[in-house]
Amino acid sequence: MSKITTKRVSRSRWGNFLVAFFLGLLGVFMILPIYYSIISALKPLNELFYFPPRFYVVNPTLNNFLSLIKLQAQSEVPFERYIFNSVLVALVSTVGYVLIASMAAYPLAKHKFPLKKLITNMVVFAILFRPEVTSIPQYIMMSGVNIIDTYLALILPAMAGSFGVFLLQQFLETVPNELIESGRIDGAGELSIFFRLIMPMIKPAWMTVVIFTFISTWNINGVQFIYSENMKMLPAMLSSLSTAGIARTGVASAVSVLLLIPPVIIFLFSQSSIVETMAHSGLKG
Amino acid sequence: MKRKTIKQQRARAGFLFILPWLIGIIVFFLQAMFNLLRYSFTNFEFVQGIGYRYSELSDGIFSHYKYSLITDSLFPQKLTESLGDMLYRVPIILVFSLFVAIVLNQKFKGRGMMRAIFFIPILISSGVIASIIKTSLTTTVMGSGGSGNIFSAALLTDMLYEFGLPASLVNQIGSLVSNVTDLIWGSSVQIIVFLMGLLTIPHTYYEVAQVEGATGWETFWKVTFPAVSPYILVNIIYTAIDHFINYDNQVMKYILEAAFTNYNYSYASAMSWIYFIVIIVTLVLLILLTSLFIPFKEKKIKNKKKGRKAF
Repeated sequence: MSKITTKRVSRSRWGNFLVAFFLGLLGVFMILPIYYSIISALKPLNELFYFPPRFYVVNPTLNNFLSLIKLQAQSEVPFERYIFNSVLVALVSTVGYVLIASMAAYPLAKHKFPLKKLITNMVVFAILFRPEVTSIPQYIMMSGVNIIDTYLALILPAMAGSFGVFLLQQFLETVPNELIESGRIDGAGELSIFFRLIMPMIKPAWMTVVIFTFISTWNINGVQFIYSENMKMLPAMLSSLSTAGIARTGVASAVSVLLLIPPVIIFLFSQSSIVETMAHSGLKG
Repeated sequence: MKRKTIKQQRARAGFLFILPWLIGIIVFFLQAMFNLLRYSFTNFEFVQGIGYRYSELSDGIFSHYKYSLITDSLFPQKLTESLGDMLYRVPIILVFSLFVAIVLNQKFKGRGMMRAIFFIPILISSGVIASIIKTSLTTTVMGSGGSGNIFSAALLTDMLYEFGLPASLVNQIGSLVSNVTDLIWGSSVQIIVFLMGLLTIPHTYYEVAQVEGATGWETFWKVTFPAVSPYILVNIIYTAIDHFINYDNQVMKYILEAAFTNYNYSYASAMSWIYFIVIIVTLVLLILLTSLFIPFKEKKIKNKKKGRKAF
């Protein structure tokens, strides 16, 4: 791939330097909060309250993580159970949503049918409401069908998101109609066109949706829908641990570092496959 | 039964594909919207034992709406401020994210890492992590709330103090940096969306441009811009919506506070419907305005390119 690639615009060395400097500066801005929360997690309690705050540790310690372990050992439900709950909900929602959203986006971009315009507009309008605003009507509806206090109470609303549909639909507009036509001429049914032609082509787009959905569902606190302690999500348990006062500041920063790990893993995983897809299509182009 | 035409068959297949999502959106979104509207015309409250109940409003069904727009002085003020902020945020974020996306699309050492770094705000800006970082770190350590990026500003002012700059100047720089980081952090999704568009341009296009002797400026407008133009509208809409429904948006805060701190759920419903209508009107204006200037569909070029790519 690198052989085909040529430098787009021949820039001067100064131009290169300026761009590198600019990117580096932005990079620092982006990294600082993460760096700062990791540093805070390693700070002993007295260093956490220095003013002005320091951006380095004098005596790094793992005490914050140890006291987190101690705190959770006192709770009745084992720690693994919370992790299991969160991972299950995040994975099921992500897989389900990516499938449902791609299936909805495909005809919205490539088919003609009545009410299409209305549905397309609804996609945009549905992004407009924060889940919190609609949570009370949703609660009443879900308690009506008795799914409050089950995983479904968190998974089902996640299926009705529309930002992913919006993104996928925009990406699908750029897929050529001729490709789909040729698939039809070869006798492929709609299902096999969707799974064997469309899905591989829009992989970068749905990988992006995977990242967004996983991160947002992993962060679900869910306390308004889940009451049983053994069904609670990890963020709910961790935030109840960490918000119990100033003495827990160290624990709180340990928690924020722990919660960061899965999104980072998912991101690294999907980032590499996005790059792969790009490299692949680059070779063929 | 009469055999359906191919067109009808396809339309039916398309509709079946949408159906799962459509059911979800009707059950969870439209139902909720409709009920919000209903609550806003009544007094809705949770009662222990019974669950919830509505009671009729004494002074007309529109009294919540009247109150929010006329009697409540805070709500209209916050609404106009939020609209004003949007006017400068959207263009700045758009230009900035397109620029960064183009830079990130170049070949250079450590490109993968740089791209990963621009994902960071998405990783932590949503949900519990951000709220834990905000509440427990910023409030206790920095003494003030605000957005997650306040660290960078606080750390910078800290460094400047140590260099011995006067306090007033340091504070000025601090607030400037805080605003800038706010914008940078608000543009990472847009950067990714633009990058997605840029990735669909085959390298050969740039080679041809180079062989034909096009300048960098011409290459940008003739090759790069047409490829990203469908995503400009996406990003405008996303940026505007993100601005309006962000947790840090004052109107949003005010509505959530009314609902979950003061338990005035009917009033919050009325305000969210007003806000909803304001946002829709703004978005429609934005879409009309952008479509005057930017051609969104460059289908011909795209089809040729993608067709070749696939075979």
